[in-house]
Amino acid sequence: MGFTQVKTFSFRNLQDQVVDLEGLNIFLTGQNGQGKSNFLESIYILCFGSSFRTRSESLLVKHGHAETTLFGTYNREGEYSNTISFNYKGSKKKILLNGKAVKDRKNLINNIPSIVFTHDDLSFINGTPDRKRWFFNQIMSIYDLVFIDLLRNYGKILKIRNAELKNDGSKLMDVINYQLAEAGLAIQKKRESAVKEFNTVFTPIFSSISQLEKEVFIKYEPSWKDCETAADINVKLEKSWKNDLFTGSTTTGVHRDRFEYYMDNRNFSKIASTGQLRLISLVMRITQSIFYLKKTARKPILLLDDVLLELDSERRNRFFNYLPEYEQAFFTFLPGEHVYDRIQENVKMYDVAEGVLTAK
Amino acid sequence: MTVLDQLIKEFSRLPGIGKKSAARIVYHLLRTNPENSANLSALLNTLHDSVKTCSICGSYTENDPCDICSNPNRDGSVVCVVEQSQDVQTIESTREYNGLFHVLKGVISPIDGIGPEDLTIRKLIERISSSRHGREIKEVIIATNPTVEGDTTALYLVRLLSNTGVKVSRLASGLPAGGDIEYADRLTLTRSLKGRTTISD
Ligand SMILES: [Zn+2]
Repeated sequence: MGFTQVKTFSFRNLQDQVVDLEGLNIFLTGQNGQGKSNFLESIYILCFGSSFRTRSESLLVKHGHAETTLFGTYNREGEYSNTISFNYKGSKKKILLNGKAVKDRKNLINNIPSIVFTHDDLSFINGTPDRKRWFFNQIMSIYDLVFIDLLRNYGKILKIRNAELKNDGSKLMDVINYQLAEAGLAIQKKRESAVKEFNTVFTPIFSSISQLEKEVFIKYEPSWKDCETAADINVKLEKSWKNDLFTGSTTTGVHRDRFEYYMDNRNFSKIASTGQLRLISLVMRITQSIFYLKKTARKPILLLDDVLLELDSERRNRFFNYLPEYEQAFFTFLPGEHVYDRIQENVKMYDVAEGVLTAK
Repeated sequence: MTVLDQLIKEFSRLPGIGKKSAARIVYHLLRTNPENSANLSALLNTLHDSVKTCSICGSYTENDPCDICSNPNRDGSVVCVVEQSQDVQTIESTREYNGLFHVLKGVISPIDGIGPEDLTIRKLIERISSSRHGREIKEVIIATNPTVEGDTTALYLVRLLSNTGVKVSRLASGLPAGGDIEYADRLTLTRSLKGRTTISD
């Protein structure tokens, strides 16, 4: 079922209001800057306890106010009504799930999984290696909680190693190298198999929607190339030792892995048009949704923020064919757009103007 | 600040106690027999004088050496290395272990500036090298927590002890990742005590 009601208080430009959401498909119509994306953001925050648009959470608070609160009620199949609330005040956030404080956001991930489709997704395709890696981390984290632990552990060891490098390499380096290799190898193996599996879904869908003759696929390029064991990695770490010592940071490892999009043996993101890159980002999100459903047998909530605007009607139709089953979906669009003819049933429509959502 | 406020503040500084629990404790003491409070404060007064650390293993004790170190029925050929004194109590409660202990008083944590020399590692090496025939240490079980720092410490010890001739094993299997020995249930701990794997040689 998904969200049945959301209340917002001093959130971004939104008026304090109660929004009833009972419906499979929620349509939000309005001009830009009226609050459509802000409302989607509030839903996302209730799902994961953080925003997809910003890391500085103080921006979430309405100008001139001291705090913001979001409150959501939602149902899942065969369950009683649940509540989730989010409060941000004085650089502290408080998340309550059915009235109980959530201490680790990891515990929220499987609560109300949502997948957001936005314009900014483009940077996951043609942005810095860092952005691309972040994207894959996010994709893998929502269906594999162990992966989150691995990333956290690796990050901690990396921090220790970098601190030790600035100490001019201590007697602990042997031990830390070994730990880094073990933790990194586990991440590398998971990424390898995830990308392999991801391609079996991504490539055919992209071909079908783009109608390109040649296949596009994701290529995982680990920093520790050709390493099968921790011992192999140790050799690399020892090789890069001088360089690491010189720069005062660890120059190889899974924190330097790359994810690229290839056609034949060419890096596709370097030759593709913006439209094609956008399509990749959309198909990546579809793939993520399908993957999530497949791995967890649970339907996600989809948040689609203006992203279909640039597709022609044919591509848009094909896009809808591939959307997996969802618990609930939120779509935003501009007034007068006839994009959503495909979805007729179980729709709830809202006009969004000056931060107010009005049911149509 | 009133005595009441002050006490609540002091209690809420203790680990695991928030402001609400602290207030509950203080009001509880206020309602019950004043003797209870007197007993509590008398015990607190003597805490640091009567509880010392064992000069051999480093665990908290009122007698030095502690009851474990001075017990002739314990197996002196095995030493279990733990992070904190409380870990000794946890492992003792399984009744599965009859050897001796060594308390490190922490873990190696370079980010917090804690290196091997800040722990009781040198003392452990001394214990091993000075152990005499008859009460010779033959095996060391490392029971640090399965955290990044616990791993660093364990690996460091393994390397350090690799040429001493003692058998070194790590107590880890079955413990939840990132968990503390203190919170591991007894069954898991018992299982991992029995199924410990040798990681040296
Ligand atoms: Zn002792």
